[in-house]
Amino acid sequence: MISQEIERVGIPTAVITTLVPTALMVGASRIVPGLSIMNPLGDPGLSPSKERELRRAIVLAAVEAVRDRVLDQKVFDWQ
Amino acid sequence: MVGVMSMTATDAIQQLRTLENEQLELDALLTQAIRFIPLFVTKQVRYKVTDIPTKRTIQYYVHKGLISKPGRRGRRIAFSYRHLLQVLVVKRLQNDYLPLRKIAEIMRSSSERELEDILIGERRVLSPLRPSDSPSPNSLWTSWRRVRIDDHIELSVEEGFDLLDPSIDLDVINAKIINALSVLSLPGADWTTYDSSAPPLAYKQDEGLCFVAAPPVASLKAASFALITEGGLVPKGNPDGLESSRASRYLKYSIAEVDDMSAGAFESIDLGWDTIHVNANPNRLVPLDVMREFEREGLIGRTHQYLYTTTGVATTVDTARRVGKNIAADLKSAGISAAILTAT
Repeated sequence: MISQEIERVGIPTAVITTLVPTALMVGASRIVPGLSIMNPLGDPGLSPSKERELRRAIVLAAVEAVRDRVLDQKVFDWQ
Repeated sequence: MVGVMSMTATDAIQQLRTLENEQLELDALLTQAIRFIPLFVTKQVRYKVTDIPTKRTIQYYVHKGLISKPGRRGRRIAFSYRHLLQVLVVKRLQNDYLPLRKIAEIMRSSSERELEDILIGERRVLSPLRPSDSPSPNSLWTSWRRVRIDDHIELSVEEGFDLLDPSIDLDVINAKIINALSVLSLPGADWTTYDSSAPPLAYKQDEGLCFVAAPPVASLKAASFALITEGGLVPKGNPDGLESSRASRYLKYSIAEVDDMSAGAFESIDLGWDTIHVNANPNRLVPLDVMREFEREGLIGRTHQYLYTTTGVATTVDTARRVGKNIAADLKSAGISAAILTAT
């Protein structure tokens, strides 16, 4: 809902979240799946370099998402 | 005496014309203006436009070229029928959200009969959506019909509009209406500078879900990105006392000098989830390290100097919307082009 209010003033907003169904339900338009609920951009089980690599891929998807002319809710997969 | 309120516009013009050869002093001009305004001007909705003109209003109108300079009769200032018409037309056109500059233009080029027509509504003047447009003489006198379509909404439609015209794309019209309503319902929206040619928001309503999407950023290299989190990331010790769940506000913290969210400076106070790993490395929640990398690589323009933070756990819809609106207004005024929000 926060993202929708920001989109509506003309600022495209990528939402990184593990709870993709919830994000879809509240009307988010640019959704990027996260890694885990509290650590959407991290995985303590991985090596620091591997974790950083994954984070980069996810944020890159978010950056690409705001460049996308979405006409309906869209999930931007980074895998 | 017949009350002006109960007349039709044409009757009122007849009544108005009995003043055609009168010379009016300022007080008399005001009296007559106040008498006729309710008939020619529908209820004013813009708070800036006062209903009742005063001496100062008239002085201001003369100064702005909205009404002609008054003449003199002996030692007294004298106004004519044309001045009265001009005052009424100014009120009428202000009510239609016409900018003063445009009203002045119309005043200069209009005869008394044409001014009367504007009052009757025969010649509706289109409120220009793009102030930068130079008006063509024809566009000033297009005829428009106004209909009330819902509470708080009127639709102004040009005479001759044909729904079945092949050049009419209803999806585009729909999108533009939603865009206008969406933008104009924001706090502090400027009705006079609304630009209908700006790329519209994508909009869809589906089983109660209202979806709105902003147009994409044109260039990532020139874009400024704001980072927002619902994960309650605050400076260590939570100096501003952000609620650990159901926050009804957002806080913003400068990250201008921060190169990444290293452990120790920030912590999450989100009650909803286990925060150990985020606190060990807050980049797992707010990916400033990667954003800085993208800046250095020239992929994106810059990262906004503030981090926006709130807690989303168990927040009500109304609260989330209000927090969202406030963040949106702040980002808009800071000229931010895109946002990345991490939700937990």
